Amino acid sequence: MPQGTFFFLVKHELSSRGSKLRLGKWLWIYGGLLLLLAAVAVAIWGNNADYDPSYFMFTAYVFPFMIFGFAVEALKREWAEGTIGWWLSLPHSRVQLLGAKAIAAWIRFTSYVLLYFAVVLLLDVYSVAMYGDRVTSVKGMLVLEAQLFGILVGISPVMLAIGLLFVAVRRSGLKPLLPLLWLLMGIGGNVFGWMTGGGQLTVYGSDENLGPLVYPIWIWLWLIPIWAIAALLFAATIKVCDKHLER
Amino acid sequence: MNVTANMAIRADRLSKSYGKKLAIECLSMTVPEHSITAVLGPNGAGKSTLMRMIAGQGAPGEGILTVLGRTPDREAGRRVAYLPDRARWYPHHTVEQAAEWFGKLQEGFDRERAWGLFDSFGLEAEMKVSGMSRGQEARLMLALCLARDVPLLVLDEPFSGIDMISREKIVGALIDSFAERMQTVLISTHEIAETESLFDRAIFMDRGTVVLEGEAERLRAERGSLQQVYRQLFG
Repeated sequence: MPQGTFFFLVKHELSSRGSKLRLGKWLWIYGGLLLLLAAVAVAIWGNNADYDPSYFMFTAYVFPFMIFGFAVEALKREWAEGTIGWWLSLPHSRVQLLGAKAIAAWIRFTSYVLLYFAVVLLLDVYSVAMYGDRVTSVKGMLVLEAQLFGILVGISPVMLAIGLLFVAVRRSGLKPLLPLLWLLMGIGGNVFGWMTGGGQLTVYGSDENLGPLVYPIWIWLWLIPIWAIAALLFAATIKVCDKHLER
Repeated sequence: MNVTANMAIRADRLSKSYGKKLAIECLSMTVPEHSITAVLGPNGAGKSTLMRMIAGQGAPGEGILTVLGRTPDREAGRRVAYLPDRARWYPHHTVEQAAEWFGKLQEGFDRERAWGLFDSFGLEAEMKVSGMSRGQEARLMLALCLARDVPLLVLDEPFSGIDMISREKIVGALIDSFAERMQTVLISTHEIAETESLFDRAIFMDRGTVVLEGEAERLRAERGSLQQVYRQLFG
């Protein structure tokens, strides 16, 4: 593959329809309105003991499913738009073609996560300014977000690989395997919840002396087998695309 | 046609099935180098499956297929310009971006030639695919394939969706193009009447196999026209 071709493929994926939010200025208008609404809501109800900005981090449990969706969309698009023949005829390895889709989906996913985390951090800064020590400190929020981001990024390869394999199997003679992949997606999507212990986030917000929550070291060790599984699933996707696709 | 000519494509007792459905059954045929061959037959005859295999997209279940002296695989894309059946182009691209995509990702893409073809097909650089008519999009895809300087062109239904007048113009451009370059061309089409003048050879397929093949001139001399042969075989 000539130098720069892989990056060109990634760029092509990122510019594809569906990869971009095409609301233009409306995106900023709606985004601004939502932030304003959140600011007003915090000003009115924020002093309630049940409120803490860290609760918004529960949304992070959706993100593993989001990256699965992005991976599905990236490959499925070739069939939906009728471009699969062109894509398959490219004289580049499936590792590179599927890799470009995976990287583009990952960039998209990471951008959404970072944007969400930045908004929550902003809300925390605002809440601390209004209610002081009663809510999670900015440092505490940063530590929490950094860890959750690390874990999300760590498990993202497996969800990406499941998403790509899901579409490839669906378009192949191996369709009977689909229920197993649904199951795998469910398990993979919940790994994040199991790793972060779920309820720990609520304890975090209700503590009087809110210190940074630090996840145990074994969480990071878990990423090694997860990556190994992701590599196996990615290899399986390449095999299915090479040998079993039915256009 | 010289019977000892080198063959660009050789198929020997090919079979291919999708699940329980047999798409190609014991198909044998040859395509000589530098010839322009029509692949004709009713829908479901197996033409697209055959062309996909020639382009390296899916191996035969049984039999031997040789394309440009080797078994077709993903690498075949370097030497084969393939226009897939029912293909669409990326809707977010402009003509210029489509040319850039082809130039970056496919080998042997001659940009100068591409822009000449775009011009003669009435396509402008800033035109967006999502705003094109089906015919304009088909012309874009055909121009992209024709601009590749490779030994084999495999065009599956290249005239589908293109109006009659444009089709005639394109056929004229194709005759000039093929005469100029020493390429082997395989075209599957249902528009036999307007394209007949293009072909040196014809392969007629039905139910996954070849029912008749031969030089176009001889078939015309024997039966009037390729269209008439088609009617006699499938009418």
